[in-house]
Amino acid sequence: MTDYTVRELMDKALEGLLLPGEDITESVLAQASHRQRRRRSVAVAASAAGLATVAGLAVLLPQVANGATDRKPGPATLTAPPVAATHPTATRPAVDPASVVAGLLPAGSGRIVKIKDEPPTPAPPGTPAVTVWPTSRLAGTYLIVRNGRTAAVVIQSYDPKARPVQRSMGGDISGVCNETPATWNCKESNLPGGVQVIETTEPAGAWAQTAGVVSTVSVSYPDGRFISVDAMAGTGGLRDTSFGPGWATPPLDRAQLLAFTENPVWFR
Amino acid sequence: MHSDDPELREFLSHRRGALLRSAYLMCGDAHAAEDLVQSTLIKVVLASRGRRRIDHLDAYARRTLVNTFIASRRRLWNRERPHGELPDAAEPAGDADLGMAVRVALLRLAPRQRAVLVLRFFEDQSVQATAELLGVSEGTVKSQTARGLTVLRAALGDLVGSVVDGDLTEMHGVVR
Repeated sequence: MTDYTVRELMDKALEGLLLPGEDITESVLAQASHRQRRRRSVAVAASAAGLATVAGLAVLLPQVANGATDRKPGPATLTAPPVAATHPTATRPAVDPASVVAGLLPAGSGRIVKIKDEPPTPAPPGTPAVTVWPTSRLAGTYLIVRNGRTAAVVIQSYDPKARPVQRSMGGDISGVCNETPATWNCKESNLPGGVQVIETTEPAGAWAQTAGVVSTVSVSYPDGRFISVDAMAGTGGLRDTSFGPGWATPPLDRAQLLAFTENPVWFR
Repeated sequence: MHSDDPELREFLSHRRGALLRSAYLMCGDAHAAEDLVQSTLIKVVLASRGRRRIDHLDAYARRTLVNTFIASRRRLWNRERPHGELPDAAEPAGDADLGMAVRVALLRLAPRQRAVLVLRFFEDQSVQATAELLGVSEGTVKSQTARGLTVLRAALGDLVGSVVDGDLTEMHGVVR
């Protein structure tokens, strides 16, 4: 039988790969310039939007704090939250996602700003291109700014009953802990009712070079709904731009993050 | 129009092919690999135009490539689902089949494991260099390497035997 090194096997895997002949140098430089111009215009717009967000938070936060949300971390809930409303999103009352997230974070966490979603990576060849990116109205990346330092939470959710239907995110998360390094402190729990919970804490440098410590809780419900929240001490790797220095620890500890993730608000 | 330095231009025109090969091994798809490389090169240009000086363009690009790849797979809607149980692998009849079998086997690895194997064995990076590129500990690189090789061996069935222990394996990842 033939002996192969891993390198030789990889060389075999590359056979048949046709390297493009055209030089894309000018195209890459032009796209970089375009992105720079776009960033500058977004930065100007963000300055104005930031002021509007602060004003909006001042009005909305008391309403959220007095509502059904609970700021205290609690034990894992044993029942699934109610299913998503099946009405079109247009009929839902307007809600400011940042104020909802702020209401669920511990008091004094800081200023919450939702940043623009990144577009999805291109669809595989042969599949229709996605022009609309349906996602939960609360899903997204939220910066938490306090004393000039920035942490973040990244919320991703999937609800098969939502309209418009969101893109599937996998579903079965059992066995994930077997794939993570021991340093990630991964814990898998199966709660009554078929609810699966995965908790991990990645050390600084594992999520991204400068992201700091990142804790993640993912909850999978038997009816197909899925919610995952990353609590990041730093913001390195989130976007191409820098949001400044990060926190020493994630904005939520594991117990707080679990309660945050299990809150039924994500599927309302 | 921005006037980019000649070194950057030369890098863009000459290193794309090398990055594309690594990207192809990680993505398993030529179109996705081209997208990944293009995103990487744009990030390199933006970084080089920024305030930070890049002393080693190649190393910076390699780091950007693997981190962009892993980050793209972290998004849940793009998350790959490694197979818990591997189907029986048929022995490839020829080189083309072997290439396909290796590509499929690589896709069975978790994205970070795949990146580690590509860096270690295709790009011939040391454990230390791979750890620095990925921003993880050397222990993580070693454990990911071991797990990745185990999955590769399982996926390729009788074609490859057990991993040969010893210094040769550490240097070249020899499989029998």
